Amino acid sequence: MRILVVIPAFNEGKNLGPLVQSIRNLDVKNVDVVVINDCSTDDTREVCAAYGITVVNLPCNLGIGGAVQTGYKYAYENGYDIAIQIDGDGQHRPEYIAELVKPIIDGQADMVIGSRFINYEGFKSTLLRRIGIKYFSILIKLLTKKTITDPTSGFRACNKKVIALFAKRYPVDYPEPESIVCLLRNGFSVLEIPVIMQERQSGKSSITSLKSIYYMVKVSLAVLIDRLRKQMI
Amino acid sequence: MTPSIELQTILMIGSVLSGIIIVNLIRKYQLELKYTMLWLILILVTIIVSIFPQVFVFISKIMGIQVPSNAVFLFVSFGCFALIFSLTLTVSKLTVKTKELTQEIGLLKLRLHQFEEANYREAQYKDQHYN
Repeated sequence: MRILVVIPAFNEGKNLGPLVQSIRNLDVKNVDVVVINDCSTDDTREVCAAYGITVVNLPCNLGIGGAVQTGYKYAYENGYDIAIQIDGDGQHRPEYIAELVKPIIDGQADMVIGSRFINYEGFKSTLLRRIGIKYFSILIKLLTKKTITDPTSGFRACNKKVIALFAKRYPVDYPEPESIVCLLRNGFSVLEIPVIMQERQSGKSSITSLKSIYYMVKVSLAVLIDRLRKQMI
Repeated sequence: MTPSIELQTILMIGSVLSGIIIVNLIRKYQLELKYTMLWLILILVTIIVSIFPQVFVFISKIMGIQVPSNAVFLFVSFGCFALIFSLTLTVSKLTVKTKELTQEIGLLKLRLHQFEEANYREAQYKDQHYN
């Protein structure tokens, strides 16, 4: 089983070094790391070179969806069995990688999501954002009858079949909820495991308060329209 | 003065139809939702106005426009300007991205060329000195 950890990074130079170090210190075999540098304006490129990290330096800013999809394309082309998505801001703890991967190795699920809202431990974001997450959770429940407690979590692992699908099609911005609905529509199984997340170590989140209303509407529409799709992929 | 029920129905049918066409194109992955948001908002406004045409009587009174239909024309042209402007914005962003991509590919081609050249020379050198 070859595992690839995909880290989308936009101006995360300060966080990347320690994060990759802790992934390398993990007790899991055959783990490779690829950083997708989404045209950062800080020293992300230099940090990756200094730590000897495999890095894809994108020539222009694609946003989170395009960056993550680059990682899935890399995983697909290089024949990885499992791809793990982990945010570059230090929110996600690499210790959970083994737990995240286990259901996929056992064949229990096609995708595993690390959820903050199963055990309600650790940092759970601001109240407003929690309301937004709950809203998406209810929307997905209504549309697919499947309970996803943390649909916006960017801490996920998926198997070869899902890598192939994501390499071909992945939503552009704020992609997590839409991609879950797309997977469920295509008959893939999605499983959640409890994780503890941390507050971001440094830098700013890409989602500001004004944008969040736009995103709520846009993602709702995207999820609704996805329900109207019937064909594979 | 309120518009006829016929006009209201035509407006209504027209906007609902265009809404269906747009959603269907998104469904088939031929349109990107990001760039159709403004269209969908305009369609929603048109539907609301076709149900409650009194809105424009009210607006024209506030703005001091004598005939409500003139207020309609004013807002329609505003809507068009907004759409055209969003297109200009998108085209500008795309132009920058295409430029960056072209430069990146040009530089990559040069590096590949230099790499090949160096390889070729190395092979020639080996040929001359070891055979």
